[in-house]
Amino acid sequence: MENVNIDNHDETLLEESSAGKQYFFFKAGGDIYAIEAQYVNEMLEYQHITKVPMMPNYIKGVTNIRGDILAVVDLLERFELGTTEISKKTALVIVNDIALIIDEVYEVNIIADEDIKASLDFGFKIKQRFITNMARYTSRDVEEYIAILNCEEILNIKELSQIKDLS
Amino acid sequence: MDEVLEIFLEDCNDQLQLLEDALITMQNIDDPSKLSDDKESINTIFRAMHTIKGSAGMFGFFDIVTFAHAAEDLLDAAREDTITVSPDMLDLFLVSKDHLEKLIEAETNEQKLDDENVNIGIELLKKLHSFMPGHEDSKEEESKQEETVEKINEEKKKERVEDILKWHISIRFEKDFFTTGMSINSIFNFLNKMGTITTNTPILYNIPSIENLNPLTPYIGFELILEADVSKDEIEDVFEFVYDDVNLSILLFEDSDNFEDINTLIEIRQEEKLKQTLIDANFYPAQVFISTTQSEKNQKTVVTIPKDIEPEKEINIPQEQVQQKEPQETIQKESVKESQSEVPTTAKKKPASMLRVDSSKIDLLINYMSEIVIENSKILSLVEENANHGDTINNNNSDLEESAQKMRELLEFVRDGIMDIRMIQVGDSFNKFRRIVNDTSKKIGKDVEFVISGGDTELDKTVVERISDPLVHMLRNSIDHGVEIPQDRIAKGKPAKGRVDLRAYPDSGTIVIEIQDDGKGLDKERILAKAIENGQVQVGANLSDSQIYKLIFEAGLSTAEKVSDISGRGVGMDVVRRNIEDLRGTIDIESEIDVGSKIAIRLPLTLAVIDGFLVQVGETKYIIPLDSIQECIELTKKEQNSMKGNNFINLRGDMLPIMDVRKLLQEQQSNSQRENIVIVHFGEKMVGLLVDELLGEHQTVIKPLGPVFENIDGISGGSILGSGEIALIFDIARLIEKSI
Repeated sequence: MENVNIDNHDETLLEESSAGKQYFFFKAGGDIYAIEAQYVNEMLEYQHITKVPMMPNYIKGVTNIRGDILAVVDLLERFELGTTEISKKTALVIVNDIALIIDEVYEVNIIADEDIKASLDFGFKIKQRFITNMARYTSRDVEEYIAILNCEEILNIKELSQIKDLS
Repeated sequence: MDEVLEIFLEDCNDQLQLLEDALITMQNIDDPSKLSDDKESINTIFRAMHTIKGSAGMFGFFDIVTFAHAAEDLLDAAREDTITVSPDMLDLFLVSKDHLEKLIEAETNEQKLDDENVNIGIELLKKLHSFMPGHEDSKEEESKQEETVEKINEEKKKERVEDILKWHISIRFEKDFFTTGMSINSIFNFLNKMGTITTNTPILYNIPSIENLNPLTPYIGFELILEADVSKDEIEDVFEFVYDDVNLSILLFEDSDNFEDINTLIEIRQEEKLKQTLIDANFYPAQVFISTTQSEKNQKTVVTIPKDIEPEKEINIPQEQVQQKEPQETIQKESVKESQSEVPTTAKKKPASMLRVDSSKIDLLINYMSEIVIENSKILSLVEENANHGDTINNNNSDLEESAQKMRELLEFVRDGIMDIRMIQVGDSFNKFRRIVNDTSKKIGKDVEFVISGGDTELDKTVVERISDPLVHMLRNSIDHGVEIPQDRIAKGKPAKGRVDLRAYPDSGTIVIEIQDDGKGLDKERILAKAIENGQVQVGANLSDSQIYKLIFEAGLSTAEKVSDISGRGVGMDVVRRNIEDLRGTIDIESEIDVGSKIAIRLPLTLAVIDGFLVQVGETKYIIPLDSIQECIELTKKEQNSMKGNNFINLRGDMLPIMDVRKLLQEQQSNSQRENIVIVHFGEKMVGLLVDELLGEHQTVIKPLGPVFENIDGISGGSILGSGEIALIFDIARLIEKSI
């Protein structure tokens, strides 16, 4: 099991700059998203998941993280954008004791405060309530607006724990 | 909360419980005039109150101190028979205990008491004072209340002048004393708190020259005179934590036995010339020694002479005594050795050593333990794989296998040991019910004897905590609905005093807790009628007695004619059942009209481990608790055909309903070649669960699935298998309930 520890990812990133916060960047369904790094407990390689019946489709089941049982959520399905295809790069990101399935870990970097913009009222393919802010992101010759995700909304326990309608 | 405060809170709660237990014991004394004779209980109450006052004082919680002090004064008067204990006084103490609990809670949460409780406190203080002898001077009493704690303490010291005793304390420190972490200074501080040290003579004899001096060794000793109103035990308590590291003699002046003891002491300490030191410091007049020592010596000489001839005894002589120049030295040494073992004051009492541990630490250990078990089973399966691949028998491999097997056995011991730490006796928890039973029966005018047995039965701490509320509820029900009022009981020819039994005992791997009353018993007809009225049972349903009795655990089913504030709303018994089922427990009821009812709760020993049977359903592995499994059978094609689309089979002549777990759990259609039925029982019901594959027995650690899955009925948790894979644990009761 290959664990990526954020803190050691890049020494220069350790100092939180006054001009911006650290974010964790990753790909899901081909798009880049960001989560504020402080919410991310850890990242690991994709591993065996035990299916739990009667749960919504985006709850893939449970997985064993060093002896603790954690729920697994497919982020793409949560966004209603299809199902994540499992590949060698597929990873689990642990946020609030829930594992999110994502396509690929990208990097941990700082977004400067001036690059953070309020999200649009509409016009983005994932639900607006899942987004806290938009950010201008430049890396590896890419420049685009990406969504900073609202983990509390995405991982709302009340919503997640609804069992599937029997009909 | 601060760790120290937490300890304070725990201590206070322990003391309050002791206090309440003793009060309830006294309440059960029938003859009010004999209350004052129960000195043991009065002392317990006094001590508990005193301890609370003392520790609250250490934290500066003066509200608690003032209140406890008032109660303590009254208790002290009761101890000394200056007042007679009355039932009213017991009631007052019980209410005071509740108030004290509130005070402690408020202080530890750093909150202020609300005005209502402040007033209650003032009222209680007044009442406490009104019981005091000579309370006519009420004005004076009231002003006393407002005095500061220091003043009260001073006053107390004055009051007790006549009790002050003069103690001679002789202290020598063992070589390792400082490693205990206790400082000599704090011992003096403690002693100074108890009373006054009037004479302090340091013994410097043992201090070596500077080049031989080890700064970590306490060479010094002390001869003290302490004047204080304390017992010998109380002085010994000062040394409680360092008992093994001090050499202590505590002698009471003016005690006739003292002369013998003091002579023994100076003999032990002869090399220090203690006798002269004591005389010089005016501890004792010189003649005390001369007369007695002489006679002592003569006696000892007679006794020890034969020993002196034996050469091996000589060898045992402590080295330092060689320096001595007195002519009688060998005889002396012998007597020293003898008396050393006889000196009663140096006898060390060792209390049963207990350890208070945060239970989360044990939970953590259990977690690690299950990890280790899993890793070890990985090793075992690797070893097996290796053996299968190797063409020839590999010696190393079999050694490895043996080690891994041995490891597994050892791990099981360790795991059982850890589990055992979590076990606590149910008695403490049961004793808390005495008060509830007392209050409840008093309130509704019933006379009930409450008998607890099997208090030493051990049960997992979590289970004990979670079973407490349901038990309270059932006890209240037994008193309110079960036991009749005294007139009715007499009319029925029963003793006027009812009886409720609460007992616990182990039975075949489970713990049974029974609540039994000798009341009127459950009225089957009424329960059934009510259940039919509520639509919980169909008219004409043919229910067994025990099924009818169990209806009392259904929501909304109360047959009480009138609702009291104790019970009768029909709310609660369903919660009781739910709580017990959550603990994987079962309930059984027996009842006979006018003889009484008995509710038996059967609980697993621990919640953390479960013996299960592993099955495969669709993609997922499930564990069925072994104790609910009756048998496993194969569902043959022939039988499948004979079902003709129905969901039952003919099992040896009986109809057995079959539940397709796959359908229930919305799993894919089976692709298994051999379908199996696991026959489980739930209460009296038997159901066959249709599963894909049977994978065998599995002892497992239950882990919670987390809040995301809290709404799934029928699955109670997860367990990590040897492969690291997770299996889900069936909650059979819920699963069947859900499908009906």
